[in-house]
Amino acid sequence: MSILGHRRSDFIAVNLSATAAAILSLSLLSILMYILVKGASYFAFFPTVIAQWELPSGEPQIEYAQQYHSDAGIGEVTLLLYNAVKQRNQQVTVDQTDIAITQPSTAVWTLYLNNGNLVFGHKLSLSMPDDNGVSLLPYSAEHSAKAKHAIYQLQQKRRVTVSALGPLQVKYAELRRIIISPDAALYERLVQKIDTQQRILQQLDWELAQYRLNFELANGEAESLALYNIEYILNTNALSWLDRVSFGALKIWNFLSDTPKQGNSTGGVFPALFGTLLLVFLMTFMVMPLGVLTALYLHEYAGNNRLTILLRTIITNLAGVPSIVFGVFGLGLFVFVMGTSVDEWFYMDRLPTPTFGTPGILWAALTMALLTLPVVIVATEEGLRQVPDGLKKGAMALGATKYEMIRNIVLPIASPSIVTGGILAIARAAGEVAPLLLVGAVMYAPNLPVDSTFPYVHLERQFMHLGVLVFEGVFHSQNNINASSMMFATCLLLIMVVLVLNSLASWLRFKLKKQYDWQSN
Amino acid sequence: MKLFNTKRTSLKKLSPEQIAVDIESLSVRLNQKKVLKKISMRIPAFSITSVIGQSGCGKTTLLNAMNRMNEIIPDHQTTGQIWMDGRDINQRRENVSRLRTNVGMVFQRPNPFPMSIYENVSFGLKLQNKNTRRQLDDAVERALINAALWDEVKQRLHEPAGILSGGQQQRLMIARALALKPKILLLDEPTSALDPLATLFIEELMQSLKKHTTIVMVTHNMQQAARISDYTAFIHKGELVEFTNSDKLFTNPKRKQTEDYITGRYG
Repeated sequence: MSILGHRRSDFIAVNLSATAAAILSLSLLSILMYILVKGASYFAFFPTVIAQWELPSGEPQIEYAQQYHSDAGIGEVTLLLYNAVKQRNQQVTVDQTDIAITQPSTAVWTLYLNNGNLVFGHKLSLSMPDDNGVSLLPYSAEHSAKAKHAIYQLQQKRRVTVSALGPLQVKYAELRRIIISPDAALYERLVQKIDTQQRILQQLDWELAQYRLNFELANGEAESLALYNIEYILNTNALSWLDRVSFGALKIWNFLSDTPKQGNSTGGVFPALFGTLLLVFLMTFMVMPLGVLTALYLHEYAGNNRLTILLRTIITNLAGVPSIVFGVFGLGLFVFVMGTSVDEWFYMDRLPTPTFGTPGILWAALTMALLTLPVVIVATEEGLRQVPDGLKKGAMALGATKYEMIRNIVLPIASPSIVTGGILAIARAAGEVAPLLLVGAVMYAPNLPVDSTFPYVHLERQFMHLGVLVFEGVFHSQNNINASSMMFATCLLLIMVVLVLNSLASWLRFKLKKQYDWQSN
Repeated sequence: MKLFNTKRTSLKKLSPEQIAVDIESLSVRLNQKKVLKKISMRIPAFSITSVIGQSGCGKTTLLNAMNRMNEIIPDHQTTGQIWMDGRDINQRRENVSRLRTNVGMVFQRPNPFPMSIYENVSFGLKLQNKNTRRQLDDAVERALINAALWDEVKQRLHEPAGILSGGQQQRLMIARALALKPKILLLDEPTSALDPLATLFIEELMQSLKKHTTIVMVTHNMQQAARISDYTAFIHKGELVEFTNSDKLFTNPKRKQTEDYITGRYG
């Protein structure tokens, strides 16, 4: 306790403030813990059970299911089933009295499909083509590795064929577009080439489909799936501790590197992660020079007159403008006015299809730069104010011009504060959602803003964003446990992205502060 | 003491070559306040000239006028001429940066840049952008030797300047100015923030520097002015009251105001 704590008023003051601090840190901690626990469940393994119940017609039904959790108080249980007819997972919450849940006595395998679905089955076997037709092999690590290798090679071939087909089809489309009758022979040859390639493709697809996984459902019905559709196969009931960790890591990796599947309710978030990072970097490159130069002008060059005071007031108040207003402004000015003009000047040939005249990552970054500009200006000015006059005079007395003085003395000393401004701007931009929805962030974007087609960076494209993904997850989370936990996992990732960016900037700030520490004199 | 065995030319008999700075009716207004009023004085070359007076009488402004540092204050106005090398430095077309490299300045509080010792000394030279690394090395060494600091820092040239003691830092500031080979060195109370031993060091340094540099120093310490300067100017409320040999000023002042000041009746 504080030494001054002997008086009654002090006692109250100390305890009140300590309580406030405790409540605050507790709530912060609980937010973090909640998101951590909820998000981590996306990477957890749930037990597979046998569920038995009766249909209204009285027909008995037996299926494998993944049991999420059972609420003893309410007596409800949430199950994830695979509907073989609809070929997709289904989530049901049923009363425990209506359903009999038993643990399977044999090994039940969970097949993780490429499209995000889970299929449950037992008695696995592999169908593999060989010299005399198709042979049936028991499912084992050795055989599945062999099959995987064969599939990999076929897919490699398929990729080559597809990439050869692409340019041919482009040429075909070009020939079709020309009104005047094209060179008949050339056209013929092209069609023939496309035909051959497509036949090769069909053949490859057929060959790929020959590698199959056979299994039985809970009711004993035989099923089979093409092996190339299956990402991995696990017996989730019999996972050792080490398996859980390693497959959990694999799930995390897939979450980071995969694209969202089934309407953003499963799969990974790579496009959103990429979009968020790209947006933040673009925004930083826009806002930092602008903000620092503005602050330099205000602090070093502008006189201390009414106009400067007015400008400062405006900038400080700009920080308080609701972010959606910035979104509307960005849409109105950047997209509709600037984007349309850019289209008219440079992309005349593509009109009326707009190129820059629609929401895109460039306009989003510009809007976010505008949104975070006050933060950078205020922080930079704070740093400029800290530069001792003596150092400035000293530099000038050595023949430095004002510009040289600012470059060599003022900016290095103010750099920690400038970086602080950057940190605040990044933290704000990475978490903002509302304005992004207006100026370019979408629920699903088919292409990344950076890819392998010329000119490689497509700043006019719409993009995905972690915050927007979370926002969308809210709509799924009501009735889909997987989507809900994916939303929390995305939240967790968003927090981690901000944390990593912040720590990077903090480390830089620490370095700079150590290097230009004038106070140690 | 050397006070009486130095031969000094009388200020009135200076030949044009012996004059380093010729100030003619210099008036300075800062922030709408008249700080210097019609000051005319001739500062002799290769000597130490002290400027004494009460706080706020305009000593520092006079010093700043000689390298146009008053211009840093947004609201400033200077009239009159200051002649150096046959040029009036108050002219509009004067290259202020070059003027400031020719007229070095050291401030009351040591203000080393947050850089290494080496970078501090080479700062001014690097700005000129025409020196090779070798030339810089030589210039830094020469400046540090001239500032009597070389032996103390030669092992740690690339360590931050902040680790030096106050006295060493002030000598570093002198070295920083000397690196540019200034003709005139302006010292604004260079020892007021230092202990007696460091002060002695700086004073001895000034004695050796005056062989090739003209030194103008503002000081509050009248013993110091009497001890080391050849000439002393007394300024009171923006006006030059008396400017003559230090011996004469301190032993036999002509004006009543000077006498009152040096005997401690005010100020």
